[in-house]
Amino acid sequence: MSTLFPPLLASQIPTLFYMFPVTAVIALVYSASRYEDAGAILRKSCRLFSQISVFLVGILLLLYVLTVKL
Amino acid sequence: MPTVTVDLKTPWLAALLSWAIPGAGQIYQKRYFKGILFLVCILGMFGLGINMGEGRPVYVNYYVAGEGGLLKKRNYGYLSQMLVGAAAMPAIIQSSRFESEENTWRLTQPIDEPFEGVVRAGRDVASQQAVRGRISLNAVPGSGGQQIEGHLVGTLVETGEPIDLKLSQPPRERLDSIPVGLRISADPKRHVQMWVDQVQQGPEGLGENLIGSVARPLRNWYQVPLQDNELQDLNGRLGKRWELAMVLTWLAGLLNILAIWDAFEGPAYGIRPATARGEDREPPGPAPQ
Repeated sequence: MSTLFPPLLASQIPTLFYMFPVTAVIALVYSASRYEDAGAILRKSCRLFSQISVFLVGILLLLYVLTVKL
Repeated sequence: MPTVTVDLKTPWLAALLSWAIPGAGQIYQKRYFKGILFLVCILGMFGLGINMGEGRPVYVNYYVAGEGGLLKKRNYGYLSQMLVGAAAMPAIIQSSRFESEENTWRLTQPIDEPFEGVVRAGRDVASQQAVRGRISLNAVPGSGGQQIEGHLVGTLVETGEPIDLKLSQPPRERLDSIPVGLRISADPKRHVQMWVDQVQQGPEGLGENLIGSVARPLRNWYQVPLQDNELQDLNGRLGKRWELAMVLTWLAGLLNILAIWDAFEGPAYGIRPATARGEDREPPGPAPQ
């Protein structure tokens, strides 16, 4: 793992991975509070999960690029 | 979005149930999919947080050393954790048990438990040997109050040599801390320091200072208020994982607000709520003439 990523980032990966289940839970619970139909809940939560994940990964990449030369 | 009718039954009861057990209100309303979804997601996240924080991120108070003894501080994160309901309620009971008279440094009940620790000559770390076995401790009346005496039967970890040690309470000036830790404390391990009076079986030259721990029952450490040294130990060992564990339990509580509100009011969209008697409400429109 440390050969692919700088050591500092590699040490962060296990903690960072928690963002996916946490995001999934937030998306599911939020969508379930908006809609009643199971299909609608799953569809909307998938969409919300993707949006939040893209946003978080984007922020992560931005911070990585900004700090890579530090 | 097609509208569906939801019978909210008794909304305040459903909300109360959803607070007590996430999703229970929806299951009471026969909305099984959402009930199980809330139950698994919210309690799963709460459980993951507790697991990550070694069972200790949920507590009402914590104690820090200050002038004149321990200072009690509120854990404001508990305001969020308590929204998960029954799963966070033991913390309130444990806070009152922690401060009660039943929680004492004195040995109120005999101990007969598996023990792990070291034996060494005084504070000489170089001489220490790891020991494992079963320790039995009893309180007996002594000249200066309660005295503790007991036995350790076990083995030396490195050599496997059997040992049988007769133990007594260490002299006051040789104590590093108290002989036996508090009965109720947030650490799953209960500290023990005893003095080896007599080596009934075992090698010559074994030290006289026995330090280690016995297991504390779950009911005596789970969701118990933390002390300063325990907080520092958790922060030091777990680092960001300790913070993440706390955040997960807070998030679980905050997400349960959505589940409680859903049980009380129904979902925000795609619903035509039913009345308490199960009849549809009149559609909005001009008032009858």
